[in-house]
Amino acid sequence: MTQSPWPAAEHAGDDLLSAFVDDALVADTRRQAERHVAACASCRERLEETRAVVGALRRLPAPELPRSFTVGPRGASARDELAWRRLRRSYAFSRYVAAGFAALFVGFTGATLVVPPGPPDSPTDIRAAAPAQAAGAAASAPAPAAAPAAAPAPVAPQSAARAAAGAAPASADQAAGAASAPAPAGAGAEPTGADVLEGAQRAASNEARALPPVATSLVPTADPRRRFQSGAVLAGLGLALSLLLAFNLRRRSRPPATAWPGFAPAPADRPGSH
Amino acid sequence: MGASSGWDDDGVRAAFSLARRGDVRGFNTLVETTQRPIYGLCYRTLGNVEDASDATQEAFLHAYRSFAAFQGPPEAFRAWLYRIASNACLDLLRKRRRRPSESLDGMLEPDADEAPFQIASGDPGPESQALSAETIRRVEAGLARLNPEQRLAVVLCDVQGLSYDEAAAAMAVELGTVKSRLSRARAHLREWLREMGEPAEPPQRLHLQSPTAP
Ligand SMILES: [Zn+2]
Repeated sequence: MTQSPWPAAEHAGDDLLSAFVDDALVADTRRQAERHVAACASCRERLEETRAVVGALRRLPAPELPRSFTVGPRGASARDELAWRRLRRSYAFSRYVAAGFAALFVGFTGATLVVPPGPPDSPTDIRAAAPAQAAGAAASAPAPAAAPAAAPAPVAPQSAARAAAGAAPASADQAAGAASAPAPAGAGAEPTGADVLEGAQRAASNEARALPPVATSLVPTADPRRRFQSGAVLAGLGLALSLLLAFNLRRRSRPPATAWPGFAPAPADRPGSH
Repeated sequence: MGASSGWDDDGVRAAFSLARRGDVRGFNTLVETTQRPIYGLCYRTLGNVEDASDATQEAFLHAYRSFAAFQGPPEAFRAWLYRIASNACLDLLRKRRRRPSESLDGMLEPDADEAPFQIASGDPGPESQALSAETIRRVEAGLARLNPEQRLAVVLCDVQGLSYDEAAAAMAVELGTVKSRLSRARAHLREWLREMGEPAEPPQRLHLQSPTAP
């Protein structure tokens, strides 16, 4: 602020009054201001009112803290961190649900295939038709997936393997892709979560593309091989869906990364008051 | 407000060097020493608990994430926080200006029939002298009427007790800008409180002169 002396005839401006209240005027200007205020009731009143305003602001009660603002180990707020942990627990739970769901689905599909209505071609034929490589892939894949999910898991690998065993090589690969997806996630490696999700989505979209022919083949048919194919694809779809569900939940539970434009630290300045 | 409260404390210095090494608990000790004034700044600038909590949390999270970039000594940490929090407040206010919220409008409505603004003396006065609930409400309503920059200036200087220099650093503006924002904010508040009723009790009991318009 410029602290040029002002003509005695003029009233003091707000900036001058403000600086006067803060005792921030240079000696010369301050003397002139004092002289003017002593003589001018209007300026005196404004000065006193300005003082009163400042006094009231200083005495505003400090608000109560609504909570503590400490941060969590991930650099999220401690509160978010808690909510996230809770969600993670529910995510772990949802994996059990998803695994159980997948197992049920696969088991059910498998059962309908193994006990075909109508003139049976022998079920053993179906298993015999399995390409060895598909069986290998499917058998190895579900195991790590289900491992962390523990309890309901054991059902899944067997049925999945059985279902996938009879599938045409193409769908078997897809099923294996979907089934192998949870492996890194089960290991608890977080950074790979997104990859896993992508993998699951890719698998899902593959299934979606594979769907139309499946739909036609769902029409009752005497050919158990075709029914088995569609059953396997359905099973894979169910598996992929339940995984998607689980991973979506997990993704939503991740605290949002807040991006803040770069901030240059303030220059160190001396503490003090006016 | 205590300009350097706690910062000479050995515990705080220890926490600071812990935080330097990336220790969350060390950082959280710093949070605990500073969260009251920082929240106070946000609350008085934003006018409601919810926004103030968001801005405060955002400020501390930002400080935590960019703590490595902070090169200053422990004494400068508070000023750095004030700057981060000021930014967080202005960000929120800009968002709110685009989509005005009810909370701010609520603050603007004064109760006409309540007691007039009265402050026993023109003196800034001792902190012990409590304001009446009505005066508090009117001052808050007056703050809500200021533009964000003026409000931030007056909250930093008069409510939080920062020096002009500290406020200039917090707002990242020139010293002169702080002074002019502050003086305009005070003048607006003065006029607002006068409008609301009796201004502060009349100055030095006077000699005859009726107040003349400047
Ligand atoms: Zn005058």
